[in-house]
Amino acid sequence: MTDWRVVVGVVAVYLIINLIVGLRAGSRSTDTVAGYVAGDRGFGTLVMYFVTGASIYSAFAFLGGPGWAYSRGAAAFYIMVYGVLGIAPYWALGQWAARLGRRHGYVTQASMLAHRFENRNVAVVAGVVSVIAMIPYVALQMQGAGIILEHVTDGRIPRALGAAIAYGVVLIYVWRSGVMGVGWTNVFQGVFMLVLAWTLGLYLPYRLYGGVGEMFAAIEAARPEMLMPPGLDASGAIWAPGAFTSAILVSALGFMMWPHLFMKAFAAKDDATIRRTILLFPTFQLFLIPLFLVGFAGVLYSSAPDSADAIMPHIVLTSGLPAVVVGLFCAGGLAASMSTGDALVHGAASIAVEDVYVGVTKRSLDQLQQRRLIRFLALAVGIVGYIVAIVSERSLVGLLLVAYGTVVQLAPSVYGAFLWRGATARGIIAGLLAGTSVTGLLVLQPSWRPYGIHEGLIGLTINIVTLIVVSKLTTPPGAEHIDAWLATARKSD
Amino acid sequence: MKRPATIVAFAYFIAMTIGCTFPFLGIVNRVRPFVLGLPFMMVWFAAWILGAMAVFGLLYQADRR
Repeated sequence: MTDWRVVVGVVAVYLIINLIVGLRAGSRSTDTVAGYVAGDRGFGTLVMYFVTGASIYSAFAFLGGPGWAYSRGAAAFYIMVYGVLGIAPYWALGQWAARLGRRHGYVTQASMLAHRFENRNVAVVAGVVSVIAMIPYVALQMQGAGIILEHVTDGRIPRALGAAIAYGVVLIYVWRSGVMGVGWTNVFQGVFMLVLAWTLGLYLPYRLYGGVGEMFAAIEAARPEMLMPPGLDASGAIWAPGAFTSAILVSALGFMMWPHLFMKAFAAKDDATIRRTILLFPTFQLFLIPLFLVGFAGVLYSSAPDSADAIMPHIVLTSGLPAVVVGLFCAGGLAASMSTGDALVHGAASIAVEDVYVGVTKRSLDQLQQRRLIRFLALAVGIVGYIVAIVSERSLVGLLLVAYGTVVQLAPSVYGAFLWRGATARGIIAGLLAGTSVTGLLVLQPSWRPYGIHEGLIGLTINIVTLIVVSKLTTPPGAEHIDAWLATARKSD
Repeated sequence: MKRPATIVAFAYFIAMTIGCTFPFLGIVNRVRPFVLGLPFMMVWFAAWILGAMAVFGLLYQADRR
């Protein structure tokens, strides 16, 4: 049996390094809101690379990726594809947003939309939708951290306590350092989890089957359907091809709409940084391969975990690896969870203050008041996410689907802002409200979905139709304002 | 005033969307041959990802001029 004290020791060292990196990073930015939320628009390629990479390399990828490969086979390949398709439009959108942000001082996506449509209520509604989408995503990351710690300590650290410890550290460095803490810990966490994923992903197939090819040959002989898309569904039957396709489409459309990701355009130093980040981003998609290898190694493994999400810790614990390696694995998993969770907590709090609070109360706060409010909101988001994580019965994938179904509703507003002069504030608001409510309703009543289509896609359709119809009935902002806004977006520096 | 690199990128990502989803996926769907020990469909998706990097590289070069 693995000595759990060694494991906990390694994890403790990892958490302390995180704290040091996260707290020190704070002294690199100014005390302004732009410093706390957008890092004084000074992020270089290294930090941007890991910040965007961390968003795909989350607890979902680290546990859910192997979990899907293990229980659903090739269905997991959809995760590889959607990130690249999802980031491609950001080549244009990211640079446009960055130029506008430098000119007009935005730090969030919703405030950009509010200015474009000359209506603060757009920011309030988009901000509320953003926060609603981010909470289940935060909860998912916390559950992931809890699952890992619970397994490797054989239940000595229960799930709720594990999540509390990991996210206690996150809240401390987010409180002190804001986005600088998020950025620089992501670099450390990113390097750490990548080394771990590749080591385990290549080592386990060798150890258990004598090689990667040998492992897949064995799976091919026993269960060939595992190696061909669409793979299997949760019950083990062949997954619907349409479900595989719509999972890719919804996730790709929603990917860069994630506010914590989109708003990093406002943190990038210059346009070239955004371009380099996108250029390098697909490497992170390829880094999913070793995680899938770990999951596939479980297909013919001698014993089964209690849930598919736990296949990674299960194999690591039962295949006789030294305790230090198990500890490093555990830390790698926490890194995957925390590197996504910290950006979410920070992003949701920034939006709640910048867009919702300021928009609703119409109070103008000075920089220090605003920063303090964001800090308290980060704490609040952490607590709410934690409660959802503890109370929710949904699996990691279930939580992710709810989150993506909601966040994809921001897509028509963002695309509308850049591509359709006829879009109006009321159209945007009506579309967001209609799309989000329909998606929410279908999450609660899944049987109402026609042909099992993803609820996010149905909401999106309603959203777009509502946006167009209401916009046609109302008056868009003056042409002069739109011309100037679009000219700023398109003019390269 | 679309530049050639932009047109290539548009075409590539439309092709990638089709090539990586059903119904087209049904045509290429197979387990063998293995490449570097990986089953064919995993390599298929990885190849599209590498291709996307090449296209981003092309856009990057075009934007520098």
